[in-house]
Amino acid sequence: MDMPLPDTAEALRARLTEQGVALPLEDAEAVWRDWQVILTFRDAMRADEAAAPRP
Amino acid sequence: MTDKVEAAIARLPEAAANGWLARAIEPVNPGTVTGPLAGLPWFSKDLFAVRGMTTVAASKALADDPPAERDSFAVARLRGAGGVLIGSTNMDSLAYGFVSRTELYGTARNPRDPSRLCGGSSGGSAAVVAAGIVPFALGTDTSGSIRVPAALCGVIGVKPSLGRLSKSGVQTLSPSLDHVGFFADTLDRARQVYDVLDAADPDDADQRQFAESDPAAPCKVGLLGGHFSNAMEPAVAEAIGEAARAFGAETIEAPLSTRARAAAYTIVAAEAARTHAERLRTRRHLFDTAIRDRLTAALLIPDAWIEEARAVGTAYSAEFDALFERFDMLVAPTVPCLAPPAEDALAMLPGTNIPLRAALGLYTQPISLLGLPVITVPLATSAGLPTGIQLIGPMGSEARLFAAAARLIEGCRIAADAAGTR
Repeated sequence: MDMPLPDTAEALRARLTEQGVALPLEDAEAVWRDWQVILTFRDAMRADEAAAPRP
Repeated sequence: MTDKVEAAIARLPEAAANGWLARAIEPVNPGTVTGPLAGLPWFSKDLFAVRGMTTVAASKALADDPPAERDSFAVARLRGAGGVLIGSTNMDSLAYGFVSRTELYGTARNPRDPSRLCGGSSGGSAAVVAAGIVPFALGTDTSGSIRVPAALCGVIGVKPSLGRLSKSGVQTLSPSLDHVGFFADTLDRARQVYDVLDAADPDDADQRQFAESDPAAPCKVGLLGGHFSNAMEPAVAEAIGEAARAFGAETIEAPLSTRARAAAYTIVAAEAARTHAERLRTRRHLFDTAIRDRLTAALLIPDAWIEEARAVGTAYSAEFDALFERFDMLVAPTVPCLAPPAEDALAMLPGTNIPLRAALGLYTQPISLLGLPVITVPLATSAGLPTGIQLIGPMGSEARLFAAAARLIEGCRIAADAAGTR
């Protein structure tokens, strides 16, 4: 599965900048804190993929 | 003008000063209305269409939209039953959040302690009921937006089964998880309002019909532990324990709950971002800053994740189906903590590194993913501030939940103290 989400607040800020949205780092860090729940979901999916039997 | 309507209107300045009010609405003459709610004043949330007014959703980004041509279904039902609408209430901007702090209307302060938040997103609606200004108020609940402020303000909150009450004329946040519901000062009032709102709407294709549950049937109760006891403040744990004992509840676990919570959070973030994507492009400067940044970032969530999150919902639903083979009703705390301080929106949940803004839905979001009906009943705590307990049933079991709530209020001192005497 494609999981293109950034791994750090700085990377999130860079991705948004690429999309034409310039966020101060402090604001990106605030979003990042809220995102911790979403990141647990991503990590669980990654764990499932890693545990899945390989063909 | 009835005394009740006059008294409520006289308190509009207080509602505005405390951040509860979005906009006052010119009332009809109460002498001209009839019905089961005749002459009772009430507030709507600033998310429901009211004829002749723009549905602002506490956001400047919507403030220039055209006025609604007709009332939302829920507003029309309550007006048709004789209720006198006197205003709309403050909320989290676009209903996305748990703090009811907006650039348009300010911070909604908790009537139990004005130095604290009343929760959100339907915070103003919970507050005007808790303050005794009106006996009931409309709200919506996507991730816990009725249940969380009901618990923090100490009022009854009703989130019926997903699809039970019409969403026609309600500004969308997350199309697959938005619910219409309400707050009430007493359980009898809640039942009365529910009976008015529970009606078929031919314009709502998402509305569902359910077989009625038997309120008199025996009710074996399970207390959800595990995820639903994580990061819980001692005063909340103490109150939940007392209420669970009153039900004779057996503690159980639903192992997928933490993942279900993350899945619900992901779906709401992704759907909310997609709902407002066009406005984010064209009216970006008008969004509340915190909401704007979170929604913009959520546009990065891939579609495949939404599907994966829905698959978690399917598995979690099977887990609950098995629990409902053993129990007729499940109970869980509504919130992990008491009402947090109003001045520190970035504060962490005590003892954790989870921001309160995101954490207040810790115990409501897993249930949101399932769409199950919930009544949250207020409980008094030893700390002086209220909390709440979620009564959760299978789809369509609202009648049974109302009966269980009545038994709790009759049989549990801290529920009677919080909900039985108003």
